[in-house]
Amino acid sequence: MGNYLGPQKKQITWLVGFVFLILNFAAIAQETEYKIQSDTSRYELSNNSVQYQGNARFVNRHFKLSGELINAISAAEDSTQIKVSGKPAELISKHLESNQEFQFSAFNINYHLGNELLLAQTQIDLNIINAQGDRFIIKGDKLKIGKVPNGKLHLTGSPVILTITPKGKAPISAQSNSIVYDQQKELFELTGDTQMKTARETIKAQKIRYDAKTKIIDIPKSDQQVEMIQNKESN
Amino acid sequence: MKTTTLLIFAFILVAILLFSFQWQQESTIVTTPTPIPKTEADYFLENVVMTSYNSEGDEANQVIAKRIEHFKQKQLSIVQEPQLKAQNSASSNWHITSDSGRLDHHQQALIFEKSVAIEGKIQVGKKHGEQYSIQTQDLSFDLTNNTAESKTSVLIRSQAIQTYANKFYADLNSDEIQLTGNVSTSKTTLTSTK
Repeated sequence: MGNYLGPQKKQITWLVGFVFLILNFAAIAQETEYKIQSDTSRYELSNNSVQYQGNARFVNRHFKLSGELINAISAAEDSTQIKVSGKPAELISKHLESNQEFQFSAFNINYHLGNELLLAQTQIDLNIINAQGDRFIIKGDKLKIGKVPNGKLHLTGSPVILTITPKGKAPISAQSNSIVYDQQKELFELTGDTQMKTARETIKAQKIRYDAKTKIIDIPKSDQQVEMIQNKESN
Repeated sequence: MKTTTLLIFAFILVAILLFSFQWQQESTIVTTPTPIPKTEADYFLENVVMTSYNSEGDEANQVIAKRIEHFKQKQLSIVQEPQLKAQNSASSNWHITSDSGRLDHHQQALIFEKSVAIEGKIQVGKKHGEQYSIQTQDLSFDLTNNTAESKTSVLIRSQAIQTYANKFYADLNSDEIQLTGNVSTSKTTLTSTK
């Protein structure tokens, strides 16, 4: 009897082991971190860089980058840089949690894979649409996003021009030396020679904040003079 | 007495002739070569290793093959299990293998056919040599210029990165690989779904 059960026990042990193995395999999935596509490419082995030319696209789970040329440089394992150039190069991103999307174009876009830092320059044209359907257009010279796609957007220019079009309301235009947009709070902070023009008034200050959720304009307390001019058209 | 002597002499002579005949038979068996596969080649070589040197006297590449059959008139050799070890710069070296191939003496090219595999290593700065592999169906290697070309689809693998393309060209002198036609690179990572 004992001899007869021996092989059965072995079979059960094998079966249990096999099931555990399958469960472990099922728990590990292969995920595509990013994809780059183009018409042609040139791989320089000496400096471990690849140039993708013609209709070049970089896609990851957060955004899509496209341009005429993508240069992927990998000096070290965690320091890969994706440099996109075009006339213009373009980025499209959609933040699924907040249902907020932004898209911008620039001549040069540089994305660091390791720390998810994005830098763009020359003729920045940025479009944001929030969950309420309000539209924001920013034009500037340089853009920095600390952590794509949710990080703060830092724009500089001479000047940076912002156009706010709240859904069903009159547009607001503004300009300043720099604009920081907090995507989480949906808050714009304009700093340096700031000027904001609404349907009713024109505000001149060192710093102006605009809350896109509440649609409130806030001028923080400062030593510098604040100027407010009532528009003639509003009277 | 004379008859006896003659008989003994005749006996010894017959014995010598028989021994000689037997020895010849044995030697014939020993020296018969094993059957050679039928071939129309002018000559063949087995377990071949051919090393080429550049003008500076450094080793440029090494061709290794299980068997090479040479056809003089066609200036062509059929190569069984060809291998090529090419090292032309400090930053890269290649080891190419395939099931079969041809050696074009006129073009000075080794054409790899069927399941071509390239194993390479990149040395970037202080970084350790990074291994990569290239797979394709055919590959022509120019032995004079150290360049390689494939007109069939190619797959390059390097750690977690994979690249596909329709055509492939590589220049080992300038350490450059050019890919054309639907180039697609993807990086995959293993993630736990637990």
